[in-house]
Amino acid sequence: MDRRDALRLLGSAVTLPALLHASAGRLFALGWDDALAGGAGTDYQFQVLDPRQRETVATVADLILPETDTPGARAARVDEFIDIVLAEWCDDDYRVRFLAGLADLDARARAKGASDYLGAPPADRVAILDALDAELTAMRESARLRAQAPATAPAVAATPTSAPRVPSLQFYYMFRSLTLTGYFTSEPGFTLALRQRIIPGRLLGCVPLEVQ
Amino acid sequence: MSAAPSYDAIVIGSGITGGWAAKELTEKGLRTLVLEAGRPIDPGEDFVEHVPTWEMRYHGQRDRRRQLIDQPVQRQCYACDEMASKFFVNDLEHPYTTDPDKPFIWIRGRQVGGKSIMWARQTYRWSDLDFEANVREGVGVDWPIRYKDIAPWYDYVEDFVGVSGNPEGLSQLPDGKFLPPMEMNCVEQHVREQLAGHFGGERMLTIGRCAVLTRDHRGRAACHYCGPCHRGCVQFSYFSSIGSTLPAARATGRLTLRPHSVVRRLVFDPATRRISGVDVIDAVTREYLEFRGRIIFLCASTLESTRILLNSATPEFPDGLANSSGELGHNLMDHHFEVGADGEFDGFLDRHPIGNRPNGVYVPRFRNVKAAHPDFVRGYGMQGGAWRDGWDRGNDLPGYGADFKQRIITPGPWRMSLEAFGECLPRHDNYVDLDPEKTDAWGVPALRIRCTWGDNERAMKKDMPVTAGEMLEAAGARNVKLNTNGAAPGLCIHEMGTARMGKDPKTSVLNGWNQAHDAKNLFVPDGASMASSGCQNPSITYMALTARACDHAVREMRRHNL
Repeated sequence: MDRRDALRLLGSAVTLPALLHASAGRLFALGWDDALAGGAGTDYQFQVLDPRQRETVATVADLILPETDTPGARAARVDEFIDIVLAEWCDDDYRVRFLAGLADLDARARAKGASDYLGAPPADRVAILDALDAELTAMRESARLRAQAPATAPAVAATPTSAPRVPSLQFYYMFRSLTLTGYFTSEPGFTLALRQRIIPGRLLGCVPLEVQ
Repeated sequence: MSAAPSYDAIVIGSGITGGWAAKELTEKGLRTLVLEAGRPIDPGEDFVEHVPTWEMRYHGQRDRRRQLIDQPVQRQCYACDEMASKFFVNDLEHPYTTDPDKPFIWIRGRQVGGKSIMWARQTYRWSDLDFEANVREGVGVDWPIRYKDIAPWYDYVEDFVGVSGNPEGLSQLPDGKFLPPMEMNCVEQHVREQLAGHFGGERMLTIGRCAVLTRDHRGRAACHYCGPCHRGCVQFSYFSSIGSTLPAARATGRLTLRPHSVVRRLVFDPATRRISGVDVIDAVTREYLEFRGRIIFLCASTLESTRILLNSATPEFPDGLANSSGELGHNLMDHHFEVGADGEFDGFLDRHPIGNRPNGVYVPRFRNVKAAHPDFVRGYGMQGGAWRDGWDRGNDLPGYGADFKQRIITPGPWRMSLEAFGECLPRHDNYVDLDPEKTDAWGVPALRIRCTWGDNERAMKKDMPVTAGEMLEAAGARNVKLNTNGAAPGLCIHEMGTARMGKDPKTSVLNGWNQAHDAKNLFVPDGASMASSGCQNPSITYMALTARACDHAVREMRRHNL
């Protein structure tokens, strides 16, 4: 079935229930490959992350959103999404900040006696992530207090190398945010984790969660 | 010049109003040429509403760096996303100028179908509260029509369009003959019920009235709730000229549609007092062409129609064609936008909605309906909706790992937002003219736009977030936050005026039939013709005005008055 056939089918209400049981991604992606620039495919060539950085990104992303009863971030190729964002989407200082954050992961691992983050034992990798998570929570709290307090000094603009005071500019925040976006906009994240369909086929305003 | 191709009618533009003019004029027997400045659209290739995010290079996060360069204005519109940005103009090719401290956000679509491909589909009738407001308050000029004049034409166009909604019997928001309403979700139903006991019955919540089919209608299939209508619809379940009026016009065999036809100017013959020709640049070949028609329907969109008239100056009309009143280009309006409130609702955690509803809820205008407000005239409606927070709330939650993943996959708390759409008064000093230096990519002079909110709008803007917050709190919302920022004029994409209708040729450009006082065979039925802005989304009113103007024009032709 090519894309035009799929479109013709769509125009006919009687075939809709049958379509709903097919994988939306596979059915409606038919024939799109030529028409679109395309998301990162299996032949994606990394543009920013070198192989070690790429493995670090995939490893940390899979700790944030691991495989459970649904695939994890690594299987969803979140590393490719992050590479595209760094190469083609974000501002330069965002990329500098992100790569400095990756280097900091290695520095934290070396402080624990490992060669780099990937060389650290699993327990130390988790400990490093726990520390980053605690630092972000503390930063959120102080940002909240600052917002409540009267301004005493002019805000200092963050630079790529300074320690950001704004939570969203912190490496761990950026990394987690990219991981969430890359995962839940991936095929396994959308269809399996969120159990969403491209074409729900019906509108119901208020039904039990069990009804999908 | 005598060899210029000749038609019974020429329609300039193929969007919401151009499509209607094409349908009505061809169905009434006129051989009609539609000149569209943009490219043709093939729904099979161009409509991309079902492309999943993982097939998009940026997973739906837009081609950000490109847009910063070539769509710095258009990117401000929510609909100009990774898939639909191709339906919005390239700002480098389509410049306009403003004073640096008086921004106007001009959102434009240039293709067969125009903005009817990306419009938000909300469909609300005006009432005499709107048509009588100018004369009652001594603002601008009196509308030359009343609700009774346009009501049959609302009926007529709505029957073809297919409008879903719930009849509420409100004098300020007349009902139509609706297709079944879309369902409200749990919290919206709750808020509707709660509001019934507050505010003296003045404020209520209803489901949005929208040009999306809730059942099969006139050969078009009912919506299947995929969601992103602004990327197109291969089923034509929402109204667009591509899926509805242009096919009807084509079926008559009397339609000639010419894409890539940039109208530069209209040629006025002072001897006959008529438009004698339309000067066109072929956007691809850059060839100069001329077309002739007995009647001309200028449907290029509010500001494009006015730009064409401004660029058609003659010795008799040095400040723009059909401008003996001096009002051409003046009285530009838009609606207030991005002012409102949102809040969180407890409960309903075991329930959710299914389907991506292409529609919201609506609070009909309640200010200055029964009692006069001390600080401002006119009023505002509100649009909004309730939803359950999704996975993106994870950005602001601590933690990671399997538990974190499960937590953010599970739908979060309910939230609801209401956003006001406020009426803007017509003011002579909100105006457009031709920039003396800048031209677009085809050499047509660019517009210079001067538009600011006035005192009445500023007073209204103070009230809008407060009442939105009051309503949410009355219905039980917690953590209600007011959004008082507001958008610059233009971003609501309800730009109106600049060639207003009126009774007196000395103070208006068009008469009560959208016909130019100064050139009888010229009709301008799009947003340029509006003498006030109401607070309702205006497209259905443009459609009704267009069908009505076509009916009048053809009757006048048959009586040999045109």
